[in-house]
Amino acid sequence: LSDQDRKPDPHPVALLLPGYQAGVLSRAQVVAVEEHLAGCPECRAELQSDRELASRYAAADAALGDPPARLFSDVMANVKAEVRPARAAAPGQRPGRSPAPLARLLDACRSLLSPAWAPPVAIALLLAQFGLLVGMRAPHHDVGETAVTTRGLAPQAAQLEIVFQPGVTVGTVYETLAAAHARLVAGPTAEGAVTVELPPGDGEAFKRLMALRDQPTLIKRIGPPATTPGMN
Amino acid sequence: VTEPAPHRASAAPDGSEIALVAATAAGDTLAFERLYRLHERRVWRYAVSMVQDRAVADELVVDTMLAVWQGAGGFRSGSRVSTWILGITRHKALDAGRRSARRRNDIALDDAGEIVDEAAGPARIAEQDDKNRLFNAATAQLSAEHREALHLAFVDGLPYDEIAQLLDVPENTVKTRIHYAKRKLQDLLVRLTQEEAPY
Repeated sequence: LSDQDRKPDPHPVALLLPGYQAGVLSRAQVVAVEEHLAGCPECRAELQSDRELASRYAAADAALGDPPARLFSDVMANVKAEVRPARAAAPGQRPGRSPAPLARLLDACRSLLSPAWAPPVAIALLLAQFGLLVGMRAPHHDVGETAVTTRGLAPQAAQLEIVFQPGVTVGTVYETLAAAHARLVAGPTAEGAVTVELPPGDGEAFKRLMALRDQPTLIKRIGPPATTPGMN
Repeated sequence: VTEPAPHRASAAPDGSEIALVAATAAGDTLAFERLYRLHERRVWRYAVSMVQDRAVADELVVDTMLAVWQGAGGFRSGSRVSTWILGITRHKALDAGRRSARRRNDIALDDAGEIVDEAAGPARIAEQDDKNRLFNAATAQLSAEHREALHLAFVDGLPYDEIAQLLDVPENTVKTRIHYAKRKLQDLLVRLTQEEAPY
């Protein structure tokens, strides 16, 4: 620090003026600044000076222009070059990264678009159609009242909300969910919360997930979803 | 006495951007493209301000965004995405600065008026008005710390707590640094204006 930097400032509120002119102060700070400004011509002049400074920065920023378009293509070329060999080696995986649920889902969707499955599926559809026609021509038997069965509800997939401790990385979240065989439905949110879905009737998956409660350094809370799931 | 300042949203993390980071971590290139578009210009102009050289700033953008792609899995919840990305840019800019033998304080006024833009050519440079040239010359002569603090406060309009997180210093240090940087910049503007004034 220079000698000038060591001088104490007579008005602590003056330190908030750049934030005030930028509109990034809290309500309480805004009130404090405005109360002070009302009785302090020196700080009003300082605020005016800050506004002029902001205008000069805005003019200089506008004159700077935009980044060259080639930067985007350079970055994406590098990204795609990294993705291609990784996909060839192991679909859905990037080097040094465990397969994430979303990546697996994306790869499954991509495989659906691949033409390799088309011929066998077309043949299977033709055979199914033929079988259906034969079945419709077969003699029809009446069923007695005693043979009527009720149709139960299909088992529902259970949803849970898991709140990870602050500071847990996105990578750790994915690894934890993959290890518990839980499907990510929503999140992670800014607070580290995810909503997951368990396969219907899979008690083991539920037990695996609830066992995570024994890791308080990793998990803050596991319970029913607080709100409707969705990417916030 | 004063115009009411427009109040911006608080520093609450942006959920949709966090979702983009999460998708990027899962290898979604489209999510990464959106993240890139959202942050490219901010990263670039911060890099230009840090290194004062467009060619180096261009390289920093590429390096930063590739680091975002490769390191999205390491993003920590509770942070803002913009602060995280600017933090990567800052580290890379400091590394680049250490590698470079260039000393900004030695730059003469005539050179410091423009941020180096070899692609723009002399015609474009000549078009810059005197005010901007003088202003750029003054900011170029600030210490790197002061220039960075003013950029984050006046160009990016970041709240003090975010600047503190980015610079890894207490919030009060940010406030005093900005305050003294303003004074220094005003002194420089006065001095440079006097030096340029015709006798």
